[in-house]
Amino acid sequence: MLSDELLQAAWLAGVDAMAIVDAGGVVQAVTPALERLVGREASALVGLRVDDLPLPGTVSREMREACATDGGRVHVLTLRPAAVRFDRTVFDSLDSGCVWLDMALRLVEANLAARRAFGLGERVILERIDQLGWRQFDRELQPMATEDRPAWRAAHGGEGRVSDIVAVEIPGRGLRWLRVNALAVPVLGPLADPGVFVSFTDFTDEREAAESLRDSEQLFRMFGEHAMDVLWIVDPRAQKLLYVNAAYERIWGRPAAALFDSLVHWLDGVDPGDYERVAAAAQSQTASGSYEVEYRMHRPDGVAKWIRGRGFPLYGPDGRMRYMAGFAEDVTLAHEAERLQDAHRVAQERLERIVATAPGAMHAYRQRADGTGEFTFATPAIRALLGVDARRLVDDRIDLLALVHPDDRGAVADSLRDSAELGAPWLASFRVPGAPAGERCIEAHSMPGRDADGGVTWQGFFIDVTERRRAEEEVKLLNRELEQRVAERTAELEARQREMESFTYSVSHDLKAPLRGIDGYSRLLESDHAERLDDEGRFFIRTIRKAANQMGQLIDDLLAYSRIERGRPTLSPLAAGPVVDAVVEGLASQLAAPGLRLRIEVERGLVVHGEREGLSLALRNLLENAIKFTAGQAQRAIELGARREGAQVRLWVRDNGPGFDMRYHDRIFEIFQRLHRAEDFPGTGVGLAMVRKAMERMHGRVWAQSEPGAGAAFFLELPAGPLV
Amino acid sequence: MEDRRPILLVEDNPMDVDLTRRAFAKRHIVNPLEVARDGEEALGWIARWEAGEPLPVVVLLDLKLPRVSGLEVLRQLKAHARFSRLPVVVLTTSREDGDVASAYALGVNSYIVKPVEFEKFIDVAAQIDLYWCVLNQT
Repeated sequence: MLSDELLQAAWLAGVDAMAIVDAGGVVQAVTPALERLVGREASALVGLRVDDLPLPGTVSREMREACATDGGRVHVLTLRPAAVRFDRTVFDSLDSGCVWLDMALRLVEANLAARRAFGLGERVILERIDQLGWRQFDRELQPMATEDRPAWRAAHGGEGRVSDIVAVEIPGRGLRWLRVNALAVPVLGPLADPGVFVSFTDFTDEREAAESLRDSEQLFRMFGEHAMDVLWIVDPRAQKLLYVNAAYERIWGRPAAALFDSLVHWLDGVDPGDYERVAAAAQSQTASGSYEVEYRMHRPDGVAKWIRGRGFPLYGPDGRMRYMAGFAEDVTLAHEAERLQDAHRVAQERLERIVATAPGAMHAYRQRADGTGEFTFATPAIRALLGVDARRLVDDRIDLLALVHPDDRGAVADSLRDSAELGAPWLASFRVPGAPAGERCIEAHSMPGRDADGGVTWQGFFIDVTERRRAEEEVKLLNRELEQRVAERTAELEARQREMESFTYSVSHDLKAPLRGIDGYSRLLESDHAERLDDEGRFFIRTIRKAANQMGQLIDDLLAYSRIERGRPTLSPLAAGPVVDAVVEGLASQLAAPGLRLRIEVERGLVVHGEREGLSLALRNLLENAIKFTAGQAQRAIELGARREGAQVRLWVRDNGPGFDMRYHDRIFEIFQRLHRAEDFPGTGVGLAMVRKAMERMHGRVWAQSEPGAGAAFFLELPAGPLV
Repeated sequence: MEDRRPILLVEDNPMDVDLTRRAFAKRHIVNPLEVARDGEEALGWIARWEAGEPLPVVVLLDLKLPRVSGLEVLRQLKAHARFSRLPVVVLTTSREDGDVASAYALGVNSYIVKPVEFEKFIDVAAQIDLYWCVLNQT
């Protein structure tokens, strides 16, 4: 039997959590182990009914009846921790990392996943995690205080289970993101002490993947919004637009919202002519997978655009089509450029045809700022002109002046300088000795234009004027010869004229002087020696004097006739009336003869184109003739008339004299020709010849109408002058 | 009062000189007739007048003269400082417009064409006498 003291000592030293319960079920005593287990002092527990003891759920109870020292019957309650058996195999097979910590948060045990996660060795290290140097951060990456840590909160906060996200900086592995569950456990692990069970999963990789996805999506959107072309993505199964960038609204000038409502709006604004083609291409995308189409599109603001649309499928990892994507590009400028290029090509072709058929050769000739020259363009025809192939002319930068005849270089350089200074066309001609067909004469027609570098470029053409020049030279030579001949001829004529003048002058002077002698001395003989002459002698003297006077008259008429020709006629409008009046006035005394009737019939206001002296002379002669030839008539009738006949003025003198036979019509106008005997009608035969000559000088004419015994009519005709 | 100063006749044709002399005689012209046979001789008279010989009442000047022409004689006479007012009458066979115009341009006092008929020549002499030897001197 054990003494009470011994029992008391054993009771207090026992490791089991036990309580003695009396028959009435009231707790009489507890062991220190029980105090620890329930976390309360013995005094707070003794006196409680056994069922009211605050026991954790994880203990097993055992009640045994015992015999008390006083012989009474008591019950002994023994509490044992629930059997949490530690099975490493199961523990290590878990994917999640699991660790046990004691209440001081020292690591007691870690499974395989946790060891891997933390890079720990096989051996359990009972150290505080803090002491490992691992820093912990909250989800905002702020350093985490000890009391905020899930394990601590589970151990001390009485919260039971704690879930949180923690970032742990693990040496050699960087920052790891953990999803952590912490649970306070009364009896734990091999030591069967209370502690904290922590399980965690590392979602760092998952998090990074998500982040990277978010980044790339962000990048894609930024890229799309900045793209010049329209980018779009469609879900073909749902026929829904998933994405279109801002370029759509910019290029189409329409809100994109309509597209999100229905894909039909893709066809908004498409040119009616292209509508079917575009619709067919969009249809074909589902069949063949991709398409490309170009079409015209009209914006609501009236601007028309050319669009090139492309669509293509996007495949998922399973190789099946997930999305349709594409671009729509504004190719208006490209189209315009193409049109311009077409127009340019047409113009170019036209130019080439013109250049090919144009006479001469086109050129672009440039003078640099330093005065040296080069060809920058030449058509093939230039070879025939300059003797150098067009390509070589340009490639070798040949200076025109080097090809020009040395004697012409100075003039060509001067003409280029003048043209450049004045901005005036360059017109020059020069010889080129090196042409294939021998020396050529070239004419340049070019317009200068100032270059950006201070040089000048002439664009224009060269023509081969060799043949023309030759012809011109020939013409010039012929002209010179002709002029020479004309001059010679003129000089000859003038010499003859002078000769004629001096002849008539001599006739006048020299022939008349002896006549004066004949007449003078005959007269003196007659007057001073009449008594020595008989009648016959006096008759001889009278005859001599008559002959001398006739000869004097003849000489005077001859001189008058030749005088008509002298000098140039000065033709001008001339009133006919006053001329007629003056002539009639001059012959007034003869016209006043008895039995002579003069009728004047002159139209008023007649104007001729002629000269006064010529017309006076003609009229006077005709009137004198009429007076002379009517002298034998008892009734002398003379008519003087003038009237306009179309563009001519006709004047006439009609008489009732003896008339003449028209057979002799032409002869009477020749000099010294007479139809009548001198004793019937005196005269020298010069008068009508003078009339004809005077009329010819005035571009007029004279003619007569007569019949023997029926009088005669003489007509003058002159161009009419302007009406006065 | 009749002026008895001489008449200077410039004439190369001796027959014309003789006829002129006779025509003047027929008209009873008493002025002595001095004769120069060519232009040079006529110009020689200028020196003689300068030396004090009496000036003629009139110079009768033929145009067609040997050596110095009548127009040249006329020009020199009319250009002379002292004798430019001396009356000069051209007496010639030429009725050329050029001669007439030239003579008047040089300041001739009258231009007379010699007639062929002697009676008319006597009339001319009478006119010369009346106008130049009588009327013009008073």
